[in-house]
Amino acid sequence: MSEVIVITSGKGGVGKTTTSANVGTGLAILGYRVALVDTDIGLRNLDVVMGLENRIVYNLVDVVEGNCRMKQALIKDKRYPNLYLLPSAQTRDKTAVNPGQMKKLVDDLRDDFDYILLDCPAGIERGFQNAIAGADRAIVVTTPEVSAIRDADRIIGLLEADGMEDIELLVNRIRLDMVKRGDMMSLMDVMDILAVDIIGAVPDDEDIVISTNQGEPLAGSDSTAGQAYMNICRRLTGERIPLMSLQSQRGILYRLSSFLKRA
Amino acid sequence: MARQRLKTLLAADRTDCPPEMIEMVKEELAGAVSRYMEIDAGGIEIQIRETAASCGGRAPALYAHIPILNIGNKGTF
Repeated sequence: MSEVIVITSGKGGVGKTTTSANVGTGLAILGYRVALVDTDIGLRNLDVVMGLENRIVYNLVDVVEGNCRMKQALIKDKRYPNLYLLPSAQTRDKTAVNPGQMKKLVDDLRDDFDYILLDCPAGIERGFQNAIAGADRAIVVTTPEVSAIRDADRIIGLLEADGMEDIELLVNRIRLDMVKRGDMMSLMDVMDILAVDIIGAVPDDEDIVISTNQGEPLAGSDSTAGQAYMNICRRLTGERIPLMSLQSQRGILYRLSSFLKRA
Repeated sequence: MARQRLKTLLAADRTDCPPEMIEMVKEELAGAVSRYMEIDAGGIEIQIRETAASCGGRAPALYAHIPILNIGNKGTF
């Protein structure tokens, strides 16, 4: 049975696209057939984060308008043969597609994939309405900042009003040093304030910036963030994995060895 | 600090309480309280916060911070 998961946030810049790329990659590593769909028409980015920008021929709007078949628009990932990307259109806008068309498009993917991940645009307008139309489940991405959490709360309200029952929160870019100093809200604070299930937390890790720039998602790598993404993927598939304690940053020996490996 | 700001913000968002209404509540409270004691009307702060409800769960509550200048009996009651 396939599952359609929308990755959304309300606020821009909190890491929806990076989350989509890494969760998609992680699920592919676990052996599932995964389709990543970039629903941000006019501002496509998921192709760049996946490192597939040079392979785009057709896009989501072409499929909706019948200019090509779905199979022609899907791009196979560089590293994982069971991972595909449906890129967005760059020269159109959100009104090129309506929620009904998006739902049909997503339903057409269900036969061939176990997980269909929809990377949602920022905002609560048409693009958001399109992205949530065909989804069974939602991951709301936030960072531990007042503005991002406020928007996450609003998004959760909108999803609930739309009848979405399965909503989970992903807290991105946690900095343990700041949490320890009391300068940043902890995961517990966020959980306490937004009464919603947590699918996982991802530490603020330089490796993510590097991997995003290189177009190679780091899910599955031995970086802390890579491990965090794998835990999130396992929880998505129903495994019971306790929340990773970000405190357990590995010791100096591990850091030294990973530094040497990189060098 | 961030935690408290966020809680206040969310409570206001969730109750969908317009700022003008908060302002009116503030003015009427100031009027009511100042009949009994001398207060600093400029220093009044009104907040809606999430609190634990008696039946479990959470419920919004109105908090008013009203600085008193002179608690002496104004003799108007």
